[in-house]
Amino acid sequence: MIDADLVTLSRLQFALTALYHFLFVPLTLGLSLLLAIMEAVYVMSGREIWKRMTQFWGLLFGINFAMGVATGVTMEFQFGTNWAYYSHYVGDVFGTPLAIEGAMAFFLEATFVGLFFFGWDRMGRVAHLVVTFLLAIGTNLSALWILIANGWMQNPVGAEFNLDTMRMEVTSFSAVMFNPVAQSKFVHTVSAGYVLASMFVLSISAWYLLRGRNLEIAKRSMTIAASFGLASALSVVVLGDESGYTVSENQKMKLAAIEAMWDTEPAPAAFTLFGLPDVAERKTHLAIQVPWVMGIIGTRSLDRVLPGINQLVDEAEQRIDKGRLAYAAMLRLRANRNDTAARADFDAHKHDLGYALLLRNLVADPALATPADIKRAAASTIPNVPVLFWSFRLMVACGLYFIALFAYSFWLASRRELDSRRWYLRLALCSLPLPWLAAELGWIVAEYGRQPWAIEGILPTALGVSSVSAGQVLFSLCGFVIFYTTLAVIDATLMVKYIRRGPDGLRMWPGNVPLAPGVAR
Amino acid sequence: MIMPAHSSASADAWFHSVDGRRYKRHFGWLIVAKAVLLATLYFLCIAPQTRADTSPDAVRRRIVPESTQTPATTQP
Repeated sequence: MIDADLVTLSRLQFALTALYHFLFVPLTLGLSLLLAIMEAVYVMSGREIWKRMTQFWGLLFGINFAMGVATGVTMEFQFGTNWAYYSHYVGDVFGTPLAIEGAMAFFLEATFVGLFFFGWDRMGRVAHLVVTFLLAIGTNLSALWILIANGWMQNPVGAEFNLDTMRMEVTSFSAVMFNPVAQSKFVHTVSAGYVLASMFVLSISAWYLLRGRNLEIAKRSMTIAASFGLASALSVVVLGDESGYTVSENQKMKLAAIEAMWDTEPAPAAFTLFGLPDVAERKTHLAIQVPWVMGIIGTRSLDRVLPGINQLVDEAEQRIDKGRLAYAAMLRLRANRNDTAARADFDAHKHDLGYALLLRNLVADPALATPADIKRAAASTIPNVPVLFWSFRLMVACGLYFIALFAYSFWLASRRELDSRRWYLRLALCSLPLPWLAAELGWIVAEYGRQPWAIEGILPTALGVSSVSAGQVLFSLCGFVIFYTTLAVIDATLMVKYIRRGPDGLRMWPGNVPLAPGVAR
Repeated sequence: MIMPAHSSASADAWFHSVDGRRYKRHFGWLIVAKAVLLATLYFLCIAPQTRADTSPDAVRRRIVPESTQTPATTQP
């Protein structure tokens, strides 16, 4: 049996690290593209102000980038320290995209970040613009590789269990690369990053307008942020819907938990707008439902059924039984490689082997599990329903709010009235933390909703932890908390310092003072 | 008050100005602080810890514990 405290602490450490790292990533993703757009306007129009805007927002991008890179490295520490068996079990699949991501992040992105900052007076306009675009492309591509790795954890395609090495090995790299879950997660995640960066620019610019500073730069920045943010916020919803559809195809339990759908409903299933999920009674109290919506979103049809949690638990019970057959056949094959009956048994049930491994949380030997153990293992496939239910709804509410705010901002920008309503500027400023909240909630829905699996249907999370003591993990967890708190203080101090000084305080652009006659801004 | 125009040359030179040099210094210190913190974290919290046994045998035992290393005689 596995030490439950060790599993909990290892998961907590990884979750804290990932959530912290994800504070920086989406801003880097989105701001790099916004910089490219601003610089493109400068190159096309020749107006100096667009160059200064690119440089100013580039300063904030630089601070965020420098902080973000370090926080990702510690996650890779943990693959070795806390998740050694996970790394061995899936390293053949997981290692390649992670290595490519490392190469992209450290070589491609870092090179172009350097050229972006120090190439202004060493390159021509067009050459520098190309560098900025390559920086944006490199940043987004490194996200692609991470999400290919993560997509494989959600939908493990293109790999098979090897009995000799006792681990998963790649059978088709193209299947891993073009995994539909990875692709839909990628577009959803990067567009969420664009929304976040747009809100960052919009909110800070609103603050300058409220203070009557940097009016020219702030209005132009808000116009770019409003239009880019509106397009991105609409994309997030459309691409999130696609992401939801892929979940309904391969992670039915996650979808049922998000919906708190305890029993299978006749097609097309209703969407629960509000409710109070009760885990003990397996019921949702005070549910307000919108007919048909969930069935249409989840299946793209009017007649396909979405299974409920109780039915999926029954299905898990059957798969555990089949998995035990695969487990027993595996033992026979390990004793005698030429046992053809065992080979046939293993091949017939190998896709359920992971379900038998769920029993390892409860008993040392799955062959000795009692019917009660099997029922408990099947029930353990239910993730935390209330957390998923509310996280998803809050995330969606944030998404809809972003569409409304950016649409209104776009309308004001088109009428050149961005600074005419102080309540709007205050609202834009106060909205600054919301995209971060939505992004973190999205991570919770995707990753907490995957539990109890590290690799969906293949490897239970508890089996992936290292054979170290819970005390060791607690010690390193304390170290991580101190490390991240220190970085957070440095980051916040620098960000606030440069935002407060602004383009005028940094003598990048002369604030509200007019330029000499005849000079194009 | 009319400020002098920011010519393209002066725009390019911002990173050579007092504020630009200060930003570069902050950026550099940020990288140094990060590297020092990461190294401290590694040497204090990670390096002294017992390493997990990831030999092929240990991995096998993870999936198939010692007590079940022999083939099962009965079907579940």
